This record gives sequence, C-alpha cells and structure tokens, in this order.
Amino acid sequence: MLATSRPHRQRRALTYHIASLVALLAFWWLLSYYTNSAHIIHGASALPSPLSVLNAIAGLSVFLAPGTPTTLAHGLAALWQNTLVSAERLLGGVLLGAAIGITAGLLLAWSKLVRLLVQGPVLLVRTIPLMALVPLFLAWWGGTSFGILAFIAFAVFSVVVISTVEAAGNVPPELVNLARTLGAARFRIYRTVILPAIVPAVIGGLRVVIGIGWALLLAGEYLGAQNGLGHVLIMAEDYLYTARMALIVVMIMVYTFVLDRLFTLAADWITRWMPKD
Amino acid sequence: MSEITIEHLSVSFTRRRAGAFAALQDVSAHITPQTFVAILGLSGSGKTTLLNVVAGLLQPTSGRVLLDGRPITGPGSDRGVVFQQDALFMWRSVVKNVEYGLEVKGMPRAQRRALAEHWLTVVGLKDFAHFFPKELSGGMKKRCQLAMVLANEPTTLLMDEPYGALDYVTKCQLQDELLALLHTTPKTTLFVTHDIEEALYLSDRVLILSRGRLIADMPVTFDSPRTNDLRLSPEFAIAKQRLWRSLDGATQQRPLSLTGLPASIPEQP
Amino acid sequence: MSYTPTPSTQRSLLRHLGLKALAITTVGAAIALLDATGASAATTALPHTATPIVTPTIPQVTVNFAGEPYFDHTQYIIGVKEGFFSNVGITLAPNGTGIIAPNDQDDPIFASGRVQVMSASAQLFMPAVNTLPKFKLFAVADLFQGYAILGRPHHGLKSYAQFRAQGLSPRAAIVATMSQMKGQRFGYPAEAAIKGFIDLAFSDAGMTLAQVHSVVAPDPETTALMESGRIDFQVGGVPSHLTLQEAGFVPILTSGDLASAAQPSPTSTALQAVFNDGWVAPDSWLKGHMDTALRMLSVDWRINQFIHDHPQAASAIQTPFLNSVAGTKFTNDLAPRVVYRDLDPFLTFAQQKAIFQDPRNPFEVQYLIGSAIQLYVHNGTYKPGEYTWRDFTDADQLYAAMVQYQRQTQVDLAKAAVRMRSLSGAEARTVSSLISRAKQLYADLDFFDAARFAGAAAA
Repeated sequence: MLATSRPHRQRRALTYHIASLVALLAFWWLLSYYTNSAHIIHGASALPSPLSVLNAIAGLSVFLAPGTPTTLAHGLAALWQNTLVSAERLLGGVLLGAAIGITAGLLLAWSKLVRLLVQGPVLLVRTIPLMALVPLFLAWWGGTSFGILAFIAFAVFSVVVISTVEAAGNVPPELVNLARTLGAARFRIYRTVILPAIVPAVIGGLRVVIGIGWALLLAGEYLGAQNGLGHVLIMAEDYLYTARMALIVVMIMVYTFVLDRLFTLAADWITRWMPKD
Repeated sequence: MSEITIEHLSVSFTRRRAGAFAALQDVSAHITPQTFVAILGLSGSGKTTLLNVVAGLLQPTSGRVLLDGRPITGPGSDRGVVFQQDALFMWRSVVKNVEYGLEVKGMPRAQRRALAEHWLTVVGLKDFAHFFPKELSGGMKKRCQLAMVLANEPTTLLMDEPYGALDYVTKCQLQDELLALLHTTPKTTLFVTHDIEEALYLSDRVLILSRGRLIADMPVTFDSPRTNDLRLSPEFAIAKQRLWRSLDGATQQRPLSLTGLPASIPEQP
Repeated sequence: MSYTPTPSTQRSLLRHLGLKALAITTVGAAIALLDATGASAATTALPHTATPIVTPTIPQVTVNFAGEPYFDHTQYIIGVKEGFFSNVGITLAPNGTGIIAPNDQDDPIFASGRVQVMSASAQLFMPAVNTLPKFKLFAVADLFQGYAILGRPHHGLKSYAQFRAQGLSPRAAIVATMSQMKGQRFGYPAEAAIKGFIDLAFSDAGMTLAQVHSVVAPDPETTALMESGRIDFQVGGVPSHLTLQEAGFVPILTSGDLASAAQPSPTSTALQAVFNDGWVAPDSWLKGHMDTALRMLSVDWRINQFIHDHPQAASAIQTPFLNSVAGTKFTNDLAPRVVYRDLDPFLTFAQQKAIFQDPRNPFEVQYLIGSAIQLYVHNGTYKPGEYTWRDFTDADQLYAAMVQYQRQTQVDLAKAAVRMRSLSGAEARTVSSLISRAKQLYADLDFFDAARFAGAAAA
C-alpha cells in the first residue's frame, strides 16, 4: 500500500509549493523595487511592492464610515465587511442560478415537446458572452445588489441548465426501469432517481462557474455596486490607488483558492458515493 | 399464485436505418405458478425482450401476456426484476437501496428498516448495510439487488442474465443461494441466460429462443436440492449436450465438432 | 447657426410679463402643471375677496437620487446633513442619501430609469442622448474647469490670473503664461479630452508642442515624475491634479482661464473643456415634478451658499463622506484650498445670475452647452441642427421662475404687512405665522414656497 509514503509525499509537495511561492514573492518585491524606486505616489505606484500592498489594508478604513481613523484594525474590518457583502452576493447568485438552472433543466428533460421548443434558445443562451451582458444588466438593475446577484445567477443558470439536461438524458435507463419495477411513479422517479443521479454532472458544471466565480462577481459589481470588493476596486481604479488595486486582486486570488477548496471538499462529500476511477 | 400466459406475442422495433426489426415473433407459452423457467438463447435472440414485456417495461406489438389471467399493462411491484447491469442506486447505502420499494409503498421508516435488514441477512449482506454500492464486490452487488427485489415480496421474479459478469465460482455460489432462497419462498421465476449450464442447474423448464422464435421447450427433471455434484454428473453433461445442439443447430446449421462426445446420444423427441 | 437663438426674447418676456403669463409661456407646460397651490399664488393677487385664509403646505416627497464619487458630485451630502432637503420636504432615496454611480456607470444607471435626479455633468451625458431617456439639466452646481497645467512651486512661475492682475489682456496673459514652458519638460497623458485642452492652450499662445520636451505617460507616471522633479509641468485628470496641488504644485493655466478669455459664443472651442455640473433629471420626471425641481434648486443654492460662507465646515461634511464612498484619503483642508476655489467653484444664487442672464459671459449656459453641441456635431455624434442647447437644459427657465417668485414674495409680503394692521385675534396670528414662514423660506432661498406663503398671507 501507499499509505505510509503518502503523507510524506504530500509534505514534500507542500514544501515545494511554499518555496516557489516565496520565490515568486521575492521576485515581485525586487521587480517593484527596481522599476518603481522613484515612482511612489501617495503609497501607490505602477507596480506596487508586496509591502505597499499590505500597507494598503489600513487605507481601507475610510470605507467603514465617514471619518473613520486609518488603522490596520479598521482596514481589516472594512476588508472583512466588503468581503462579506461580496461573498453574500456570490453565494446568493450561485444558489439562485443553480436552483433555477436545475429546475429548468429537469422541466426540459421531463417533456420532449418542451425540450424541443426550449432547448434551442437555452443552448443559444450559453453562447452569450457574459462580460457583454454587464452593461445590459447595469441598465436593468444598476445600483442594486439584486442586479449583481442576477448577473451571477444568470451565469450559473446558463451552465447548470445545460449540465442538467445532458445529465438527465444520461441517467442509465436501467435505474429508471428499476424504480419503475419497484412501483415508483414518474414524479417519484424524478425526485429519487434522476435528481440524485445528475448531481455529479451538475457539480461538474458548477465547478466551472465557481472557478471564475469571484471574477464574475467583480464584473457584477461594475453594475453600480455601492459596496463590496468590486466597488473598492472600481474606486481604487478611479483614483489610481494601484497598491489597493493589487491588494484586492490578491484577495480575490486568495478567495478564489479558498472557495475552490471549500467547493471541492463539499463536492467530494456530496458525491462520496461515486466510484473513483 | 401468478401464472404467466404468453399468447402469440410479437414485438418489433422500428430502427432508423434497418427499418422494422422483429425481436419476438409469435411466441406462446404457459408458465404454471412457482415454476423456475430459464429462457435460453444467444445474443439477439429476443430473450431480454420477452422478459421486459412480462416486466411491463415493453408493450407487445401484437399478442398479449397475461398474469393470473389479467393482461400486463405496465411495471408493478408484483413482479421483481433483477437487471443484467448493476442496477443499484449508487447514492444510497445498501440498506437504503433495499428500502426503496418499501418507501414507494409508503411503509413507515422503522418497519421498512427492519424488513430491509431481514432481507440483507437472508442474502448475507447484514454487515454491509451502511456501505455504498461502490464498496461492494460484484457478487455482493447481485445479492443486494436480489434483496432489494425480494423486500418488495413479489410473486414473480424476473432475472435478466444477472450473473453474466461474475467469475465462475461466485456465479455457482449465487446460483445455490438463489435455489435455497426460492426453496423457502417459492416464486414463479423467469431467468434469462445464455449459459446452458446455468439454465439446466437452476430451472424446472428451459425455453429456447432463437431469432425471436420459440424453438424448444424442454422440462428439466433433476432432483432437488441440487448441489455442485450435479454439474459434474454424466446425465447433466448429456442434457447440456442436448441443449447445446438445439441452440447451435437452430442458429448455425452446422455439425457439432467441439464436444468430443459420441454422436449416439439420443436426441430429444 | 445650428441652434435657435431665442433666449434673449424669452428673457425679455420674463421681465415684462406677469407671473401667470410666465407660468404658461416660459417654463411652459411644465410650470403649468404646478397644481392648484402654484396657480393660487398667481390668482390670489386680487386683494378684495374675503375668503377664509388657506395655509399652504409643503408636501413630503421622495426623490431617487444618484451622485458620483467626486468632489463636484457629492456636495449634496451637505444638503442632507444640514437638513436643507428635509426643510423643503424632500427625502433622497434610497437610504436618505441616494446611490453613488462610479465613473462609467452613470449613463447606464440613469438609463435604467431607477434614478430621478442625478448629479452629473450635462456635457458628459450629451453624447449618449440617443440612448438615454430625454434628460435636462435643471440646476447648476458648479462649472468644472479642472484641466490645469501645473508647475513646480518656488520657481518664480506666474499664473494666468497673476498676469491678468498685472493688467495684461486675456490673450497676452495666455502668451505670457505659456511662454514660461518653452524648452521645459512637460508631462501629459494621451487622453483625447486632455489633449484637446493642451492643443487649445498652445494654439492660443501661438506655440507648438515642439517648443517643449513632451513626456507622454499615464497620470501616475507623470505625477511621480513631477514629485521627483524630473519634469517641470504636467496636465492630468482630476485625481492627479488634486494630488499634486495638495503636494504644493501650482496651477498656472486652467481650462477655465482659457474659457474666460474666449468669445461668448457657442462656436468658441475653449468652452468645450468647461462643463455644467449639476442636477440632471429625465424630462418626463421634470414635467410632472416641477414644484419638486424648484425646491431642489433652492437646496442647490443653499448648499453652494453654505460652501461659500463656511468652506471649512462644508469640507468637514463632504470630505469624509467622499472618502467613505470612494476610499480616498483627502484631508479636510484640501477642498477649501483647491476644490471650492479652483477646481469646481460652486456658484451661489447671486453668482448664478451671470451664467443665466448675462449674454456677455462666455460661461453662460447656452454657450457652454452650445459649444459642446458643436463638438459633438464636429465629431459626428450629432447631425448638424439635430439639437439645440434648449434640448438639454431648463435651468435658465427655473432660475428665471425663481427670480419671479422672489419678487412676488417681496410684493406679497408688503401687502401682507399692510393687511396685518387691519387684523386681530386668531386671523392676525394666522397671517403673522404665514408671514414669518414666508420670510424663513425666503431666507432659505426657497422663493417658490415663500411666494405661496406670502400669497396666502396677502390674500
């Protein structure tokens, strides 16, 4: 068995990961030092150094409330507050989009007529470039949290609905027949056979969206967001706070990583019944 | 009870390229209650189609199938089906799989759990009740499927090449278990197989299908209980030879050459 | 000429017609939509009808409002905090402060129809006229003239204003100011709007860019180069301007300077870099809410008056608010020194006479909007003759109407004072309270409601 060597190998891999990250950080620092040594503008520069990015945290204090003194604690609080707002929108959008996408996908899979009528347009929806929709959503719901939520929900919906229809079509017929011979009626078969059977495929679809989830959120927060990380980024862009922009980018990277790990953990638990290849 | 009457049954499928294809042509048979009938045939002979019509999963093109005198219109929990594939709900634990049919019937939770555990004990999977199907071996999956079907207490058991994918020893074990089980709770059983030995060992009667037609209907008269010694006995070999001939003769129309058995063995009249 | 030059005739109408005629002819259908309260102010001028005294009320209304995260579009917060809006029954929605529409999102947010009044630059909305709801600027807050050539302090540089103060003509002052740049290092971005300002400055001075060492780079770069002393002059966007001016660098020539030297005409290209910042509303909303628009206008003036009278207090309200929405780090002393004085001088009621009723002033609203129309015709956004300045603003008419209400209030207050002498008891107390309410509203620059209360007192 590999049982004894596995933790050791994982530890070694982790060492390499950390070493390469540290090297990258050092490279970034040196690069920013040599390219920007004379270019420091109110704590910002064309390529902000890692230290100036850290320092940018305190600068976020003002987002808490008018007149908040600039301290690291306030900055962290503001960062956390805006993260929560953004995370809520992201989560809400993903849940709403997945719920509508799965429901619509199951309805499509239910009736051949409905599928023939609707599948064309639904497939077309998938081809819409999401970023091109930002101005449109802005015009419909600009300035409201709902607009951002709707934008993310739309992105999720367009992926999940296709995954659902395809997965529902790929459910092994013997499972449906098994349920039928055990006396199950059509709705019960949908609920107890089709729905659980498509979960892995829907999760696969969701994984694609989750990977770009925070990027979608930022695009969504261009929709006139009044707060959230995207709002902070837009304002920093407006006022040329490059260190702050880099800070938000780094935070988005961290959150994307964390979200991906959490999603993978959850997905692995939900699909723990799946045979591993 | 459950006697099955098959009257002039024909099933044809329309395929886009090949046009109409007759899977079953004018098949008639009468199966008395609590008989074990093996349906033997090569691939494409229509045996699974016949089973599916009895299961209610397929509609006849013409003719009809009666169960206790009433035409079959659809699937029902009075006929339990063990499928060729590992048809188990992968996302449910073993015991929850067995409970499925009981859930459909609306049985209360505690009662169905007790019943499911009983049937798991019967098939020898008591200790695996809370495993997921992926953690079971091939033979255990078949046992689980059987428990799942039996928990529903059907009067008819329909089995579609259930042991086709298993190794020989496991297959023999499962066959013995099946016979023992049917001995205590007798059921009318239709058992589809392409395995001559399996058909002989298990059944009271063998129906041979070839290209959608019923070409032979032979009683099997070995004593019960049957044991592995039977598989090695000369009369078993002779019966096997006879079945082989009718199967091969009907499909290939060429002389038997591989058996090495004397040509003097009497043919079935 | 592509626009219809009717403003002067309209102004003379305003001066010579009575209030009722004004209501119908100048502010047109919009003012005519003023409900019975507005109309009664006109009709109750007949003194001898002994009807019971009707006390006017100011209705409570909610206005869906949006600002932008800049100094020239967040001053409304002063009106919120100081109670100027609530004083005239107006609540901004949502949250009592409205929303903030960052940089490029103002057009779509306005187009969404969820906003009734937006603080914006009329000239920056104009290119999108075909996709936006038909809109009009109805209240002017300030004239943005923020493009500026900044120079290093303590180098003996003189600004355009200083040359003018020495008695030089506008043209000579521009030449003198720009001559200081000859042979010097000059940083600016590639941005078209700013390039337009630079081209104009050089051509007005009879110079070319070949006479300086150009350093074309993004604002953060040129700002850094200025701070490290590696270039001598710089033009950039507002953030870099604020940063440098806060660091002590001095503006020597602004787009406002060029404009003030320009001919008062819509054909003056120098006017194209000056914007009417103020409150913009969909025409449909304005038509149905002219009374609210007039009250908003009075709040605009009150805010500007407050900034004018108490710049430190104004900044103490506005700067932290702007910082909290934009995440900026502006200190409270910046706005009084730079924004209120140079960048975006907010115009009081008295100062606004010059931009609405002075045809010799190049900053008159018709010339500023007219020059923008010329620009958009020139770059192909508009067809020649497609729009006139009247299509984009009613601010001059609302201003004129308020001036009329101001005069009406004075007249009616005089009448009411005469009437008081013959009254006693409850009636005297009612009229007295009407008079004091009218006076208070008059002091608060809400001449519209002041006229209604004064009218009721005089009836």
